[in-house]
Amino acid sequence: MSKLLVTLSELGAPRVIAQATFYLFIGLLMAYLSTSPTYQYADDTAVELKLVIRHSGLFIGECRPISEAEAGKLRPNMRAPQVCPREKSSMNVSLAVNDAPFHEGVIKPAGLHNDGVLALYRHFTLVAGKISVRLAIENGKDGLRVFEQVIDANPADVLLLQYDDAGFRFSKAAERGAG
Amino acid sequence: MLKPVAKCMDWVFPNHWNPMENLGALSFYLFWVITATGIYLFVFFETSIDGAWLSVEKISNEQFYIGSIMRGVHRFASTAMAVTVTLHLIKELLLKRYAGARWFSWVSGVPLLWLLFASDLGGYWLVWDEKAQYIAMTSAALFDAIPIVVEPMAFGFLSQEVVSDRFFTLLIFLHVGIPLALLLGMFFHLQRINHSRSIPRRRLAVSVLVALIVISLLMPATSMPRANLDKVLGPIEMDWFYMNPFPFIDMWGPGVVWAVLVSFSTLLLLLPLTARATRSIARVDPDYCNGCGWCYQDCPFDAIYMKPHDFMKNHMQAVVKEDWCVGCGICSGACPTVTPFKRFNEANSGINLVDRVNFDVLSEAREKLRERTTAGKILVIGCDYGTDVRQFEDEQVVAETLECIGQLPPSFMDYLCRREDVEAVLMTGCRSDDCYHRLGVELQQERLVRLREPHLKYADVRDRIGKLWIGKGGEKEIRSHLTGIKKQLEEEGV
Repeated sequence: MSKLLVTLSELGAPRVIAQATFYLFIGLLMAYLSTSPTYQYADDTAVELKLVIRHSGLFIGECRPISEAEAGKLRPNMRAPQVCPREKSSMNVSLAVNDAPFHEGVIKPAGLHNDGVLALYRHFTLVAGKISVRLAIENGKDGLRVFEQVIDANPADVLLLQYDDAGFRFSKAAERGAG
Repeated sequence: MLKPVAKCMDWVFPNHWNPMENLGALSFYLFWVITATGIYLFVFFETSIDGAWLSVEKISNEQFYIGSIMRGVHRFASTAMAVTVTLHLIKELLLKRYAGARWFSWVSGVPLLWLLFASDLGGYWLVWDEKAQYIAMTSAALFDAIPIVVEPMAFGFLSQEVVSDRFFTLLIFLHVGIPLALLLGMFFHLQRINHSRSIPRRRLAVSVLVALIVISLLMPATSMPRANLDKVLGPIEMDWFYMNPFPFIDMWGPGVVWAVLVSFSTLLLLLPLTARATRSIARVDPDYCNGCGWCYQDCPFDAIYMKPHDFMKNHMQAVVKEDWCVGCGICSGACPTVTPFKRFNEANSGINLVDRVNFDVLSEAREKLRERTTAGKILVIGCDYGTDVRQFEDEQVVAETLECIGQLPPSFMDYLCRREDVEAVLMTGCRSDDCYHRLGVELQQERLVRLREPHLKYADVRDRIGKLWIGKGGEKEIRSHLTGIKKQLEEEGV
């Protein structure tokens, strides 16, 4: 402590004050910029729509019995009675909100051999009120499936529009948790 | 333009207190401050979705200032580290200290920027407030833009019900693991740096810590409301030091932000290729190397190692790693064989720069001094990175420039003062904590006051040496200093 006081007295009052001012100014500026100015992520009336698609996918083609020639090329323990294709079909997605087109695209199955899941996430900011969605999915041999629903959304609501192996769902995220 | 600011800073922060000249050491120090306060906070932190936010609030509000100060220092030291690291990068960039043998430190520093960002943002996630929610969702958008991602990371933040306690265990793991990777990276960053200062001088360290504590008391670190994934976020209290790319992800999309970030990093990585340093390197002459190891000890870039001597039994010999050598010449300033007090073969030495031999400088100085017929001869010695001293030459003044002031063997001054009637020496160069070759000024000062070998031999010579560590643009100071010396010599009747 006495060493510190000696050091401070060596510096002299003007320097000590100048150093304190420097650190205080820089410190307060840093503290301010680490919280301010705020960033407005969305308006007060905004609603967020999350489009979530996760489907295990549909194989292209059917399983067929293995031929004797094919079986002969395999080791005995690998000789399954059927040969099934790995590749899955892509999925066409078309979303319209309040009759306006919002998203159109093709989801490819994951993996080098297109044999993984099909997944998509998109989010959109909308204005609170009545929100009608129309989601059209064309998924391989399942053909075209269309889902339509209207929700009355309050400001700051998060809406989840989902399509998975179980089918379509559209609800408020808060209600999903409560349910 | 920056000269007045630097001058002002020199006055405010004398005797190695200047934070601008200790940016690397300060960054290391702040890392340790963050680690120490982080350990404290971790003791009270609960790794669960319900407990995370609440436990941080308890630390802030229920520990009679201690928790709040610890949290504040943790937060603001992170912010300060972003500032010191950024300034460190800008300074090295402006001084072009990325080329040649310095490429390693430069390139190894680039990934540290990413790790620093990741470390800090990971800390914000842990609080699990609305800011954390924003960071989580936006980071997810950024990662989901990588083409190889199979399932979007955003699936983990669809609604409140999706997030589980295990998520916080993962976050803690990342918030410990990434800073450890950062520390490892910092270790590699210093691999080609000798005498690295990873802790600033005590006075500066204490000043910074006190400042952090005071700021934590004046503007405590607080949380935003608890995260709620079922609600749209309102205004976010942004940390503009670390979260500055995030609004651009919202505005331009993650692809563009990736392109900018990756391009910027690539540019930094490739920068050493754009400016190949033209340099002279040091070379050892085994015939004269006595294996003392002083050059090995003083080399600022760890470019010298010792091995058994080529032909002298029980002797060591210095070897220069040519790819690591920046050509500062500090090794030749440290070599005891580089002395004019030799009976024969004076130009031979154990180690010297290939294209800038010390003895050439000595010969030139000696020649010029012998041409001067006036009494009271003054020798000014400068370096390439300080003010050009050759402009001060006149009938009384002889000036010489070296690659670095550390290249000057003290014996040269002993010799020139004793044998060539130099009455006063003015030594100038880079600013004292800001030597272009890192240690030239510091080592030379230690040699002059006999704290380091080879040292100045004669006490009366030491009294004739003036030092002015002012860097570039110090013409006015040098001129006034020389006027003072001349006046004093005149008064003394020299």
